[in-house]
Amino acid sequence: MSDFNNKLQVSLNNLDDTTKNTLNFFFGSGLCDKAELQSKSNNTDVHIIDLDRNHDKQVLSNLKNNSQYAIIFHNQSSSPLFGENIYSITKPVKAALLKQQINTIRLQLQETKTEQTTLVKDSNQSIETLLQKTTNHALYEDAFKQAIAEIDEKQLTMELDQEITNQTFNEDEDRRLTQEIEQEIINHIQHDGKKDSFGHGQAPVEYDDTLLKPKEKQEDINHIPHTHDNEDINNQTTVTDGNKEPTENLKSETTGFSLKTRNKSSSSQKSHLSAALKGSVELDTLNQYKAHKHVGSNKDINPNNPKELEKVYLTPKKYIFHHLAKAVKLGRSKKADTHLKTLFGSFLFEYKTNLIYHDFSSTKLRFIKYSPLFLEASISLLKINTPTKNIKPNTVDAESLIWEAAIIASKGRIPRDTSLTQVVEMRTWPNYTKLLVFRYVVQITATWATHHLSLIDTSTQLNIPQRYIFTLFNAMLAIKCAKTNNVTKKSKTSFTKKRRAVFSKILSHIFRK
Amino acid sequence: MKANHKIIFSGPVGAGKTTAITSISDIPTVRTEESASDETKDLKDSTTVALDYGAIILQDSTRIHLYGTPGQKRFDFMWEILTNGGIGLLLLIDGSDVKAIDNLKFFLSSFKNFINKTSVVVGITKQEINKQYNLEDYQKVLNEGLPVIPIYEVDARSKKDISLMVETLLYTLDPKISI
Repeated sequence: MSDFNNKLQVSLNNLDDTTKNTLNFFFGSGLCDKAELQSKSNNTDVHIIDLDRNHDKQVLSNLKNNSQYAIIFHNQSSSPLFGENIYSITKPVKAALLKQQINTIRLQLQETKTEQTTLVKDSNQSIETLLQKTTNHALYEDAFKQAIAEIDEKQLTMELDQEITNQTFNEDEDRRLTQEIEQEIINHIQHDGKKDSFGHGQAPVEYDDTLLKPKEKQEDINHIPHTHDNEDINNQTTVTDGNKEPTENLKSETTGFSLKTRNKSSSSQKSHLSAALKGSVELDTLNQYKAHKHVGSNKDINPNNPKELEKVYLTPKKYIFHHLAKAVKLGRSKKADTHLKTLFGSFLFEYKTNLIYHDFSSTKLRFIKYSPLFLEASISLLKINTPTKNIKPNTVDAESLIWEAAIIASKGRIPRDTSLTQVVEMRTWPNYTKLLVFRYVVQITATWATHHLSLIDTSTQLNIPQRYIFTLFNAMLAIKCAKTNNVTKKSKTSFTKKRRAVFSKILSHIFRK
Repeated sequence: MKANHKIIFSGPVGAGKTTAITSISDIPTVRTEESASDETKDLKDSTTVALDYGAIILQDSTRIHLYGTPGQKRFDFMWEILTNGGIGLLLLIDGSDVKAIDNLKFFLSSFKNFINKTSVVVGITKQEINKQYNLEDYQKVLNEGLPVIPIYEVDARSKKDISLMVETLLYTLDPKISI
């Protein structure tokens, strides 16, 4: 059994190869870092069992004789099992739900051990006291990094899950995610010192509180120990004693539970997982994930339905791409370097080189691109030749950064009040050899470069899902390559079919190579 | 009888036409190079005097011919011959040349009739070596309004970059191509 400073031990019981491979990927790729797979099921905390494979029923009966937990996969047609240590998930299994149940079991085991420890040690020190001591000594940067890691992980899990279930990413979800992220950050920074991420910790910076939308209330905790179907996992939060995951981590790491230690080394587990991963990654799932990563999974909407329309709108000023674009625009117009200061740190735009300097890690930068937290940010002009002398931050082409940030923020959405029926007017062709591209990008751009079509008409004419068109338009708008034009122009909507067959073959040939 | 499909690569001397054809051709490139004798010898030892030839061979054995025009203006009589029946033009401009903008103007003007009938994609090469102009400077040269001419910074040695140019050319000719 696990020592809860370590990971929950999970075993797979006679699952089919596809499920095994998927779970190997799930546990081995960092999507669920609270648990790891064991090859033998003798001494594990949790068994994962497929109810549709009859021989597993023997395992179930064995479970009743000890304290091990089981997560049961079952079909919609079969009834879920009930039991003290049994959790059921309806197939197809959602990654986020599985992760949530793993966390729940981990916490339940932890609570059990806490009670035992308290009895044995007769300690008066509460978990809260220990937690307080720990957080008081924690540095902002460490806590923030942990928050970022947790948020990014959650986000990835949700993305994967969304792709599998083809759910709609909409404003509600956006709002929920925003609240989650805000709460995570508030949890981590409220007791800690502040440090300028750009100044290498030398010069503390007073952050503008308005950059972070205050959360009015601590969210209620939804304690759902047994989930018997896959209903609305997005409304469920990890079960904790009043805190969300990151704080829970601190708690478990600092209370010093005296539990049995595991004999197996972690390195053997790593090699086991690596070996499993090599040949087992589901390519289709990955490809879907990649596509989803860029354009989300919004379904096509009816532009005449205001409710549906609302789902594809975003507010640009909440995202970093908008502020970066403003800083670059200001720098170019004034022919000066600019400094963009945000809650998370600073960006410097160097006018002469067209580069943006920052010192964020790739994980943190991705979080920043995605976060709808930038209600406002301050932009200031710098004296020419002053920045970047004594610092060695990351540099990136300004256009590339804005473009990518706009894509990540958009995920199939367009700025609020963008007309879906006005024609798209292209100013210049984006330099795609230097920019992040995704499927259909060249095709859509070529359409706008040669025809006057609206966003909706582009989707209809090309038979491409709207989310691809909306994502691309948002990115092109951000770097000023295109806009919608309120003047209705005569649209040349006829497409020549001359040589289409051979063109198609050439493209297939190019992509195959 | 199978139709004759060809893509034309053009641009000034040293822009990378021969290299670009080589990077995507499925056959060894046929070159008609001679030792440079005029001002070209300041740029490179040998130069294309008639044409470069490569081909993309499709699954059904259809050949897409890739023709590279000679870069010198005195060979411009070859350009019309080569472009006859072509699918479109990939125009490569040496970005390290101080005359790059003038070259772009000249070649767009020289191939105007062909471009009007088909399409063009511009690739600026050698930007990483000694960039003379930003991409925005080249974009200003191109006409406003439709069609918006695609222009990329490319590496002529990169199959990916040249393939992107071909993909762009085809989609600008017919955005409804399905694969």
